[in-house]
Amino acid sequence: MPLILRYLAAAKAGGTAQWRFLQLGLRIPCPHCGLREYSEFGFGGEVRELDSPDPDRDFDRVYLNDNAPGPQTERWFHAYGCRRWFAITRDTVTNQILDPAGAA
Amino acid sequence: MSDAFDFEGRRVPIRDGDSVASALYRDGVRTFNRSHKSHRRRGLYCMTGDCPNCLINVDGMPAVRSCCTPARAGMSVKRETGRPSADVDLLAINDYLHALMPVGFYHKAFIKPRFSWPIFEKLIRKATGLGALPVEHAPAPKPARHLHPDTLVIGAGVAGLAAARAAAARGDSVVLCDEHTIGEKLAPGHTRDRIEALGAEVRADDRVQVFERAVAIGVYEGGFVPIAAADELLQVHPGRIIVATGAVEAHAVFEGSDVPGVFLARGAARLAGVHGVVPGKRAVVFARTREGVDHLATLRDSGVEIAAALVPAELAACVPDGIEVLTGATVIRARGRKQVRSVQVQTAPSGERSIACDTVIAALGMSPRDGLLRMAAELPLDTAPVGAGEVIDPGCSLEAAESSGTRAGRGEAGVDAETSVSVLPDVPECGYVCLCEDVRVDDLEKAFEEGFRSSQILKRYTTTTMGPCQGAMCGHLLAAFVQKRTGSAAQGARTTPRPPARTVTLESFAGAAHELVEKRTALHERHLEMGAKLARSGAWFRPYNYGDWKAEYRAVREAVSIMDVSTLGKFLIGGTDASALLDRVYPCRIDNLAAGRNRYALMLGEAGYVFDDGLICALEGGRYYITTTSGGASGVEAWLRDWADRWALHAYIADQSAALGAIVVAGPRARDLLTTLCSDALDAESFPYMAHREIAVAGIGCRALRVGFVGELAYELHHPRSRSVELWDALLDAGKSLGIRPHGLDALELLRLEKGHIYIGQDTMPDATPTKLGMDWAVASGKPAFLGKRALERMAAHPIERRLVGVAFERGSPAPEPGAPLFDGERIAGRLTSCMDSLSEGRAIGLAWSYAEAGAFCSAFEVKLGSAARVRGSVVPTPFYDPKGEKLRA
Repeated sequence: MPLILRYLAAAKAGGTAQWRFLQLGLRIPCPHCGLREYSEFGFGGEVRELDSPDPDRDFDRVYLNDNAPGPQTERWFHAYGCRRWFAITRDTVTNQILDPAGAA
Repeated sequence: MSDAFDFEGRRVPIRDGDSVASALYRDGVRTFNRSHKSHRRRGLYCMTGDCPNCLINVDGMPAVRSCCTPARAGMSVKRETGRPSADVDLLAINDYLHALMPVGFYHKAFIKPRFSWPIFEKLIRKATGLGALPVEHAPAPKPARHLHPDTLVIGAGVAGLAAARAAAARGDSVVLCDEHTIGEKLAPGHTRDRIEALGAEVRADDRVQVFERAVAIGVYEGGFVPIAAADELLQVHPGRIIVATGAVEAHAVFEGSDVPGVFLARGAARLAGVHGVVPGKRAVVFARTREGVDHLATLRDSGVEIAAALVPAELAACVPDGIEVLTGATVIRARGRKQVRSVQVQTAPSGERSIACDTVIAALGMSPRDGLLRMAAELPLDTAPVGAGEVIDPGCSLEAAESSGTRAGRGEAGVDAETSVSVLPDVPECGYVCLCEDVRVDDLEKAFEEGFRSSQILKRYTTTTMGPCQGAMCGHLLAAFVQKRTGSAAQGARTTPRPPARTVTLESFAGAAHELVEKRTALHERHLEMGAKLARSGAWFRPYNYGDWKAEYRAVREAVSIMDVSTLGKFLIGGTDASALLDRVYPCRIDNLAAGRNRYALMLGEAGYVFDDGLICALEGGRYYITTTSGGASGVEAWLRDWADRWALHAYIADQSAALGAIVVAGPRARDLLTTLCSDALDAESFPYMAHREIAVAGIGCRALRVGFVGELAYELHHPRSRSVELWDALLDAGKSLGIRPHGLDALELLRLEKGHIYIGQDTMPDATPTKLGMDWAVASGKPAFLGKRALERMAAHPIERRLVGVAFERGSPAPEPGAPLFDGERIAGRLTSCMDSLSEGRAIGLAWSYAEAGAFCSAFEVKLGSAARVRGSVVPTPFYDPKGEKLRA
C-alpha cells in the first residue's frame, strides 16, 4: 500500500494524475473540513525543520527523509477541499491516524 | 413460448429462478469448462459460488460464475476453455502428460536457450487461461459511492440476518450484503423458512440497508470494505465489521473427484431442491455429516435413485428406508471421463466394491468461508471484526447460528478469527487438491521434496489457493498437507488471505475512478472549426497545428500570428507579505521589480532543482501576477501555499487559471495588429519589452504582457475566459490584411528552440540546477535567502557533470530524434532533448545534455541515424535566432 500511496501522491503533486483512485480505506482528518476520503488530499512529506544554518543538518533536512515505518508526522494538502495545508501523525505501517494535530 | 438464452448456437430454455448453470444442466450440459493445465473436463460441483468449475463466458464477460448468475432471456453463453472446444479438446492430451509437467516445469524447461522463452510463453498462454478479455469495447465503469454505517454485516444467512437485526435493534445503522439473494441457495424447508422470516424482518427495518448480489471484495486498512454490487461499487467505511459468510462443503479429494458428476452435497441439494433439476439418475452419497444425510430425502424426492449411502455408523439410523447403507465405507476412486460411470468403494474393513452410478455426492464436513474474517483480523481496527455463525463454527445448527449472529450484532460475541481454527481435514492420497490451477496431491509431494516446506511458500511455488476460488476449496487441504508432512503447525499455518476474496471485474475497480481530467480552453470549438489537429498535452487538449505548421512558423517570423495559451497557470498574489513570499520562494530578485515590469523566473525546490518556470509581473499596490507552465499550475499553487503557511506569511494566492484566458499575439506586425483594435499606447517606449499594461483590445479589458518566448515582438493578452472567443475572432478579423494565421504547438516547438528556450520536463532532468541549465543569470546569488540557496551553494563547490547545451548539425542532414545519444568516439557524451530542422538556420538544431569526461565537455560529437549513418554535430551558443534579442525588443 505505501507504494501506491507514494505513486498517487507523486502523481497528484505533479499535477499529472489523469484518474483519481479511491481504493484506499484511509480517511484523513482535515482540521478545517473534517474527516474526508484520502483521495481528496495531496501528500506533502514528512514534517521537517524549516531551516538550519548548520550545513550538515541542513543537508539531512533537505535530502534525507527518515522514511521509517511507524508513526510519522507529515503534511497533507486538502487539494479537493479547502486547499490548505496541515499536519497529522500517521502510522505508516497501519495507516492509523494517531494525532490529528491541526493546522501546521 | 418460454424464455431462453443462447448457448453456443442452441436455445436453452429457462425456468423461474434458474441460474445459468441450472438451465444448462437441465439441458444436458455436463462439461462446463476445461481445467487450466491438464484440460480435464469440469462440471458443476459446489453450486455455491466457491469452486472454479462453472466459470463460463456470459455476454462476452469471461469466467462468470454461472451457478450464481441468474439466467435471463436473450443472454449469450459460451464456453471458452478447450481447443478447439470444451467438448472436444485436443489439449486434453495434457492430462496424460501431467507427470511430464510438474509444478513450475515451464520455468525450468523453456528457459534455455534464453530466446526460446518468449516463444513458449506465447504457446503456454494460448493453452491456458480462463477466457479472453473483451477488448473491443471499453467497459463502462460502475458508479461508486461511499457508505459509513455503524455496522457492516457481510453475509445474509441466518447468522448475518440475526446480526443485522440485533445491531439495528441497538440503534446502529447497518449495511448488510450478500453475494446471492437471501435464501436463494436453500431448498424449501425449515432453514429456508427461517431465513425468509428473518429476511422479511430485516428488510422492514429502515436502519438496515440490504444489498443482494453484492460481493465484498476484501477488507483494507481502516476497515474499508469495497463491495461490488450489481450495478455499483459500494465503498463502505463501517464502524465495525461482522463477517457471517458461512461455510462451504469441504472439497472432496480422491482419484477422479473432479470428473463431472461429482457434487458437493449442498450443491446437489440446491440443484434438486431449488431448481428442480435432477443431478443424476443414480447416485452414490458419501456423507460424514448429519446435514449430508438429511439431503438424501431431498435428492430421492427429486427423482434420483440412491445406489448407496456411505455414512458413519452413528448416522446410519438417520438414512431413510430403502437406501442401501454402507457404514464406514469410503469412496476411493470415481471412474469415467465425460461423466462418472462408477465408483470404487472401500468397504470396512478391507473389501472393495465397484458401484455403477452417474453421480457422486460428497458431504465430508464443512470448511469455513473465512477469507474476509481472517483478512480483517490481520488489520489494526478500532473495533475488532467479529465472525458469526458457520464461519466460526462450521456445521453448527440453525439455532446456534442465529444466536451467534444475535450476540455478534449486539456486540457481545468475542469470537475472533484466531480462536476459531477449524479442524483441518484428512490429507488425501491422490486427486486434485487445487481445481483452479490443477495441482494434485503428488504435485504437492514433489514440490515439498524440492524444498518448499511451509504452506506460504508451497502456495507461491505451486499456485495452490491462488486461483479464482482463492483457497475456498484448497486452503485447508494445503495447510493440512504441510502440517502432516512437517508436524509443525507454524509451517502448516493457513496462508495469508488477501483481497480480492472473490473474482472482481475491472469495471468495479474502474468505478472508483470518477474524475477524468480532460481540460479544454474556451477556444476549443474555434480550434476545431479551423481544422486544428488537437491532441492531449498533459490534461489539456491543445492544437498542434492547423494543417501547415511551417506556414504558421513563417507567420510568426514574418507577419503576425496568434496562439491560445489559456492553459498557463495564472495566479494573483496579494497580502502584506506578498513581496516577502515571492522573494523567499523565487531565486531572482523581487525587491527591484518595479510595478508594471515582468521578470522571467525559475522555481526551485529546497534541493536546488528546477521544477517549473514562468513570469512574475509586479502590479500596483504590492500585488503580483504570476504565470506558470500549463502542467505545473496546480503543483505551483500548492507549493506557494505550503511555504506561505510554513513561514506564517500574510499572503493570499488567488488561482485565476480557469477564470482567465490568454492569447499570444506574436510577430513583427503584432503591434500593427493591436493598434487597429486598441487605443492605448503600445510603442516601445511607453510599453517596452518585459513590461505589462492594462489595455483594452476590441473593447475587452486585457492585462497585456510583453514576452519573448518565440523571439519576436509579442504580447500575451490575459482576459476573462468568457470573452476569449470574441477576442480571438476580433484578432483574426483585424489581422487578415497582415497575413495573420494561428499557430500551434508544432510551430512553437521550433520557434522556442531557435531561441534556445527550454521546456521544463522535456529539456530538464529532475536534478537540473540553474547552473546545469546554463541559467545562472536567473539566480540572484547575493540575496540573503531563497529556496534552494543553500543547496546551490553546496553544489557550487563541485564541478558540474552535466550541462544543457545548444547543438547544431551539419547542413543537409536530417534532424535526429530527441532522446538520441551523442557519441564522442564510442563514448556516450550526452543525449538530445529537443531537435528540429531549423527553418531560419537551414540545418538541424537542438538542445542536449552533455556529460563531462574527466571534467571536460566535448565540443563536437556524432549522432547515429538508423543502423550505420552518423551525423556530425557541434556544441554552439544559443540563441540560434536573433542572438542580441533585437526583434523581441522592437
